[in-house]
Amino acid sequence: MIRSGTSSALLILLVLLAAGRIGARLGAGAWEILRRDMPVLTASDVEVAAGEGIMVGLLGGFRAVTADFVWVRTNATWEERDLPATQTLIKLATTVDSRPLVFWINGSRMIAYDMPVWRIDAASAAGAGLPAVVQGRIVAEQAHAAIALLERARIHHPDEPLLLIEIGNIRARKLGDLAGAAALYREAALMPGAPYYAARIHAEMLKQLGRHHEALEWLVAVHRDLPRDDPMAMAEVVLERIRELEERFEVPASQRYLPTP
Amino acid sequence: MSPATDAAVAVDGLTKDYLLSVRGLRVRAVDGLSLVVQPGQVFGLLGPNGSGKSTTIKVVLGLAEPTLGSTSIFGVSSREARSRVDVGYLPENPNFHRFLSGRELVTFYARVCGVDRARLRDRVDEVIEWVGLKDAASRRLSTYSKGMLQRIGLAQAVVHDPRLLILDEPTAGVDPVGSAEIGELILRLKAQGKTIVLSSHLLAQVEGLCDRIAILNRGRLVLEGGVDELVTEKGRDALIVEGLDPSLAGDLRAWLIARGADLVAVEKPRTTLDRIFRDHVAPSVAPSAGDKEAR
Amino acid sequence: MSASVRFSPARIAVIAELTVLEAVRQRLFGALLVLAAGMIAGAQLLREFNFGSSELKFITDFGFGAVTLFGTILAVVTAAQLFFAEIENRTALTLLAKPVFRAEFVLGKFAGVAVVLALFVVVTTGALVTVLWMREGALMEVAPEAFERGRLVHYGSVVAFGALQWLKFAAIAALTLVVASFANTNLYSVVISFLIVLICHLQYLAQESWQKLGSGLARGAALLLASVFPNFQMFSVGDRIAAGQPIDPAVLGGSAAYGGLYLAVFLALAIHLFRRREI
Repeated sequence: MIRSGTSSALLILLVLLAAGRIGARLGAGAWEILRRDMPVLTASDVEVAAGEGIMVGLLGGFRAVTADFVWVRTNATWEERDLPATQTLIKLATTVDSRPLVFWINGSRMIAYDMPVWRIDAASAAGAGLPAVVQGRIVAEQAHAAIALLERARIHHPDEPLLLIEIGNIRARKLGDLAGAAALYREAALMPGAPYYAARIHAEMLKQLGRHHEALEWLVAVHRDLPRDDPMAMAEVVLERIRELEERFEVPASQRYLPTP
Repeated sequence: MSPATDAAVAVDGLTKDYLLSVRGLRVRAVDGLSLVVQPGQVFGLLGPNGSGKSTTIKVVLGLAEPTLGSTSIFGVSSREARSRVDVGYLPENPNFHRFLSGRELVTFYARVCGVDRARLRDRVDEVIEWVGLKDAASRRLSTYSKGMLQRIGLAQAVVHDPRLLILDEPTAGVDPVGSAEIGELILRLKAQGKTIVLSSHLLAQVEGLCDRIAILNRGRLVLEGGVDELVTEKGRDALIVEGLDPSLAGDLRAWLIARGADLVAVEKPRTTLDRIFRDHVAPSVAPSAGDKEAR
Repeated sequence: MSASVRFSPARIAVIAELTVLEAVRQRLFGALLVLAAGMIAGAQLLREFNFGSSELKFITDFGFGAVTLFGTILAVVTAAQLFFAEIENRTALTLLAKPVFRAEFVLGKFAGVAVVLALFVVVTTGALVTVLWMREGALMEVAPEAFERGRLVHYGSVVAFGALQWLKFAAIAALTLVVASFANTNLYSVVISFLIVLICHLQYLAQESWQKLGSGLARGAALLLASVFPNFQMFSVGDRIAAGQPIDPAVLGGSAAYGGLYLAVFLALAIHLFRRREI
């Protein structure tokens, strides 16, 4: 009976080994695609997850669900204006699952736009109204923190124009760096899959910076490639802006931009 | 002795060992057992607990492998599934699917045994009525008493009309009334020409049911033979006398001695406690299979 | 002379029917269904956070997570319980004393468990599809700019996810039958099966890292692990679908073939082991 038990165990082992070889070939193509989609597990990821007690979720194929739970908690602490908790949870959500853009973008917005208000309100509520200089410093600190988060996002999403747009918005609104924002919008607009509005906003920024010639050249180049039948492209709006600039520079009719149908 | 190929059950040199530990320690449950059950017999496999009865039955039914020797049913090796086509089995302390009703259980086994769909329902109703459970057939088995479980067990064993029935401790844990009813059912099956192998450690209860018995002890066959031959005391006769004056006993003895016999004892005839119980608890129950008059 | 007995799909079906009936009359199955359906419906509460179209991703993630987690538990516990109970309670004695092949018994039990798992997947996936459809419809009215190109959820892919998870659960149930066919107690079957399922979910880490390990013993162990245990991450197709992308046909086909292979292997092993078991 011992012999039969051993021979059974050996048979099972051999059968499973054979199944493993056949299975690896059968599933090779599918596994390649699936593995690409799985976020890479780094040592620091494991450290963060272990610290927060969510190792099982991380390893057990429940990464997305675990990150979603963390994100819901983030929104709950955001509603409570709990700055330290919200910051920690944003970091945790993006660590557990770096794939959803919504974590990075909404997280950066919380850091750049909401947290300065919380900090300033908290300081004011303590009795001392903050001088404008100090408030400015707080706004800048948070803006840089948000940009740092978005730069981390770009490591995971190098070809995502929305991240550049988000950084540009923070630079423009919170740091007063319109030139920097304009450059980012241009870079974003040139990426495949960029939203149409990126190009339009870049032109507006150039106009605000007094770089009208550059804006006109840019709009003409953009309009040439815009699809005429896609309402989101707003080709007629871009053409209107080209005409406005041509009017401004009194460009003769014969030299005005002639759009292809 | 008839050839084993004609036998309902043939056990030939059966030895069965169970492994107790990985170091090879074994316990021998059956040791060199050989016996034959002829068709139409009620064969008793008797012996105390742990004597090897249930193990023998399991090997015959293909539920366990013999270490040495072989077993067969109607000439087909027990290792083959087809040996069990004509067999109905009632295990010891039957445990059936408690979530089923009595009817559902019997129907399930009827379908497994391939009872023709056209007559399935009628056959199930027939056997349920035959075992006296018509009123309880729709109740879940979890509500059944021990005796009822034994009877529904009999129903599932006979639903496909097998030629051979193997009943392992059919009356264990059942009260005298229930035991008598089961005994009655067994005798009716015998009257239908079925072969019945009956295993029990309650020797008195089955004495009146079996034609032939084998007694096992510690896995070995210690005695086999026809019941009548074995229980009858040879060379002695019993006379039942009414109205005998005790003073005449001496004269009677002298008369017998003069004719080469002897009066060994004068006793009152005894009935059985079992009979008294049944007469008072369920006087309408048919005479117990233990009563000689019933046979 | 005994009639011949042939391997019978009809007998397998009868045993399967009994198994399904037992599962339905047990409370565990119902409790799990309610739990899973509740978890999916609970995703509706996400509305309070105004996530916009991202809410659909969260509902899908939670729904997939519920199906996967509770389905895995159901597969192990139900397979162990429904198979082992027959042996523990000795009801298998009476059944196997009939002209029933051991393979028919194993396949009948498995088929019953597979039906139970299919019911679970159909109900929970159906609930998820319903919730998604309704929420997406509501969001399309509230924030139409996010839905310019039509609905974001690929419902066919959600259904395909359900089908693939059923195949995974069936393979897990078959794996549990392998363990149960030689185990001595139900508890042992359940614990060992869960352990093996966990290992199979982490198998891909061993596969990728065995060459980087230091000691020969660790490398050998990791290599053995990677070679013997199946990779259950092959069925983790939900993330892409939740992110709004359809399931890749190559992934669907490859994962289904992989699951089918292991299902067949585990069933064959369970039958082989059970044939040698003394009841």
